[in-house]
Amino acid sequence: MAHGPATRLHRCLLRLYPAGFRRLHGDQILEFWTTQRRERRYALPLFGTVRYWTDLLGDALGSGFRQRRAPDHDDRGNLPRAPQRRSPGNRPTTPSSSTVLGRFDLLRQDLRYAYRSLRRQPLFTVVAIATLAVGIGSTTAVFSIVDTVLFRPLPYTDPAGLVLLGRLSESNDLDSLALPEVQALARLGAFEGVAAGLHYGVDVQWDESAEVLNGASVGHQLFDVLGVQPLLGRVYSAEEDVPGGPPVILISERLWRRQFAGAPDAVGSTMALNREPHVILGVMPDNINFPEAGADFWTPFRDAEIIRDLDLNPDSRGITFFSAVARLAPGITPQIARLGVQTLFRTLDGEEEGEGEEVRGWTESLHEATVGGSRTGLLLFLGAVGLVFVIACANVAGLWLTRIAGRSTEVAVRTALGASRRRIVSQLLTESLALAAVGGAGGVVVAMAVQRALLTIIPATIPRLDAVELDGRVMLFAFGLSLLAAVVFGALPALSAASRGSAEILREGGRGGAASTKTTAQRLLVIGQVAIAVVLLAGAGLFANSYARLLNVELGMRSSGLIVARLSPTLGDDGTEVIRNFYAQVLQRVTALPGVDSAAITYSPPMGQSNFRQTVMTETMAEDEDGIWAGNVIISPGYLEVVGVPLRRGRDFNAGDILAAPYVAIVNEQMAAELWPGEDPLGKRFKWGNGLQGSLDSFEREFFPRDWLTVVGVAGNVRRRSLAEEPIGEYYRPHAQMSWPSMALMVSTTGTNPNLATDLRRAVAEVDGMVPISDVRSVQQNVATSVSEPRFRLLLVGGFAVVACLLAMLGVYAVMALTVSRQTHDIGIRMALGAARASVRRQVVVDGMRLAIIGAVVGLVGAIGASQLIATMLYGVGPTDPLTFAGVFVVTLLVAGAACYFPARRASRLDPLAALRSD
Amino acid sequence: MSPRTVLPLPATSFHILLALVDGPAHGYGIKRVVEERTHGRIRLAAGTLYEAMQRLSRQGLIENTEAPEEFSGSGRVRFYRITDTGEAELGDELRRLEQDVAFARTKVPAEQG
Repeated sequence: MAHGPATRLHRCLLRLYPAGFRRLHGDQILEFWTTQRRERRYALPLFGTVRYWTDLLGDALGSGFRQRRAPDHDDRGNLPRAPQRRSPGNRPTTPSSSTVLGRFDLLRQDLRYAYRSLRRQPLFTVVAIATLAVGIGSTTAVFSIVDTVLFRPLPYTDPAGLVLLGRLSESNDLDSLALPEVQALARLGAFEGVAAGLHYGVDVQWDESAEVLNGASVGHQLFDVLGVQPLLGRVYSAEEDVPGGPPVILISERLWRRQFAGAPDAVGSTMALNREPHVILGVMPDNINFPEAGADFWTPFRDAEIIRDLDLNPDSRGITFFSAVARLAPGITPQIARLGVQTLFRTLDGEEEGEGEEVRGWTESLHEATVGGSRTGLLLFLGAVGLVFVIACANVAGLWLTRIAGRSTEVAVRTALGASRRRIVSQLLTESLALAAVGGAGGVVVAMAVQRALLTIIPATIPRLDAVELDGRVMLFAFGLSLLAAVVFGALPALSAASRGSAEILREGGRGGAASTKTTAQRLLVIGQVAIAVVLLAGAGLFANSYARLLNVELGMRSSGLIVARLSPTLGDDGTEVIRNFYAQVLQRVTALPGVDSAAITYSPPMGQSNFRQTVMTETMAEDEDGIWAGNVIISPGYLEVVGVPLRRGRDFNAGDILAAPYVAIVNEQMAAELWPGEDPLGKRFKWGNGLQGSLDSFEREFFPRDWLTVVGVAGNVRRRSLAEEPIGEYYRPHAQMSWPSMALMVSTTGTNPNLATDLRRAVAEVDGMVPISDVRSVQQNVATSVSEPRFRLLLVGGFAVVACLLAMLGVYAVMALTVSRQTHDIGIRMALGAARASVRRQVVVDGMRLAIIGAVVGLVGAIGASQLIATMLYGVGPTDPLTFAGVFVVTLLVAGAACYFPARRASRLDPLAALRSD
Repeated sequence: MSPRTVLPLPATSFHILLALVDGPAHGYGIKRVVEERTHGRIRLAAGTLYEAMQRLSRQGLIENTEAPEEFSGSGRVRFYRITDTGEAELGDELRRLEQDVAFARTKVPAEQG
């Protein structure tokens, strides 16, 4: 027998028997079960498995219980007492509830009774358990993610005292700072410590390969401020963190395990950054999320040495590359700190000459800054799945009411025989608790699956996902949900069942009298279910609509048939000539590859992360003006044609635009309109102002010239960073005049070479084997990644809406089926009096549709309110889009119609005579 | 122990003994035979079956036995056979049942009900 999970479960079940019995028969029972599993009745994929384990559990519970009660037959060989079939309602055999033992006995009796009674209606039991498992499981899975991301403290010492410092942008986001601002903040008494940081990428050369790693240049204060200790070695000191200090580096645990196989002697060895050896001082935990998550190394900040090396002046307030994190001084609240920072910024502004824009300082708790952006979305998902949970409970409550109504005679008999109301309520509650417990257990299994599925589609922009797990806290949540579910669906019906007079029910004699044909409670529950499903459907509809519009926006270039790969040659001491030669050779070889139409290079491929922009000045602007922000895109000649960006006017770059020639640029229509509204941009000149923003992965003086650039062409606008963002003003520069080392290779393919990625890598390696090359991806993949958030929203809310719809459909079906069976007699009379079958069918459908329509209307009203919450997540569609809402209404009615059809058909096929004879 | 003390046999025990009349069988085999004979009306679960067999074996009505030759390869599966006491007991039970049925027939004609 294989020792799979099945074997383990088998052994668990065996433990229900006393040890002696297990010793004697355990092996035999295991063999028995294994053989039994092969029976045909267990062959159906899912249902068979459920049936098998239900049968086993039932058997083991029953006989195991008997064995434990009468563990062994006495030595004289007398028969054990036959198991007594006691009804819990019968007082004479009921153990006294006044003693602890008696109470325990009562509970055991209730449980046994619950098991038998649930077993008697397997369809009800299976449907109820499955519904609860889905409701509890999906809610638990979403909770596990929301809890980890939003509610758990950050993995730092005393994280509540940490704040992120920054500028407040026009859209009220936290922007990065200029160096003078960081320095002034560090002197502010409100903080115990302030650490500056700058995210950057660098070429790393290993013995046999090279790659680009992302890391950060951070002040030595960072480790004290966050309170993180190195796992190994030490962090750098204040003495090492000065301009011209020794080349030292800290690496992440991830990098240490990958590159050094977790060897302790990695500390003290060296690694090459830009071919320059750096001594590894220590290994840091992976979860340092400042200045950005996912850093693989940290180097000393050294008064912004990286920026100074560019011959840029970081002491100006136009260079805003710096993040800063601070720990609040004792006794300082975040509000006081924020006031201090705002005052400080006003002072800084006052010192500046000229009429600059006001810069507003801001602080945000590190926790809020890390997770705040994801909060609305995540809470929304928790809300959505909460609705699914409510529907699931409503559904089971409906089934439960039906079940209890069917047992009213039984309850009445027991009451008449002397069972107290408390006894009966406790019996019914035990049943619902048992059901909820099994549903909760199933929910944990569902949660595991749903959590895994969610983590594969959740966008990587949501922080802290690596810490998501199913731990005790989440289990407790699932347990709480089960309890809640049991109370919601079990307690109220139980109370109402027990409160009805027994004499009244007995008089009815189980005959479908007036009281039991009423299904008001079930009907209200169904209306509620439909309403909730409609809210979710409306949300899903809005997201779908918005997503479709997003996919249909004008990108401004081709996305199909284009592949992209980033190459990162190192800029050595030989100057940029080497870089130009490298790319010339690469382009030559790549163009010659089979399946390649044409190829070019660019620094900023569409939907990529590499973008930077700076302020530009026209000839008519005064020197002290701030200029206008514009994106800077480096390209090679022919790029526009390769990727399909239309050249509206002028010319493309050509072989004549070399470093020694006058600097040229092609501007996009947006920038032309911003800089020279109503004028002909061709021949106009502009140059860099003082502002610079963006993600730079290389820093070389030559790239930041102060010369005038002449406009030689006008190109169409491109959506560069995301589909939802309107195109910004941009200009293109020829790579020959700005020979940035790290460039993206853009290849237009014919689609006929399946091995193109491998061929590309080989072609690059033939030119230089030590040049790192990133993943080869298609532009379409990048576009898809850029819409991963809206897609995730759609999939999640859509998925929940489908589940909600199915549950509501089940609810409608159940209540209509119940109605038909309760009215069998009446229907018989109507048919006997000559009613046509079609009219009977119509009556049932109309009856059901009335519920659905009321539910749908209530739901739509709710949806109008709820959709305001997602208004900011929509693109190109209003939160109360009438078309979407109309569609949802129609879908709801269709689904409800389908749910009514089967009960209606059954009603119309009744044999009038049999119906009349029926009770 | 006098056989008289175990009558009437519970339905499970009765069918187990009946299944073993044709020759030794193992637990699952007994289950199959009973299921076939009763057309699926009695479907013995493992726990219930071994519980009953433990009782029967204590009462001396069945006992462990060697696996028949055709099953000799089936390893640790245990086989049971009916004892002489068991057969006698089964006979007594049959007679008791026959008497009951005969009496019942005088009250309820065969073709009705």
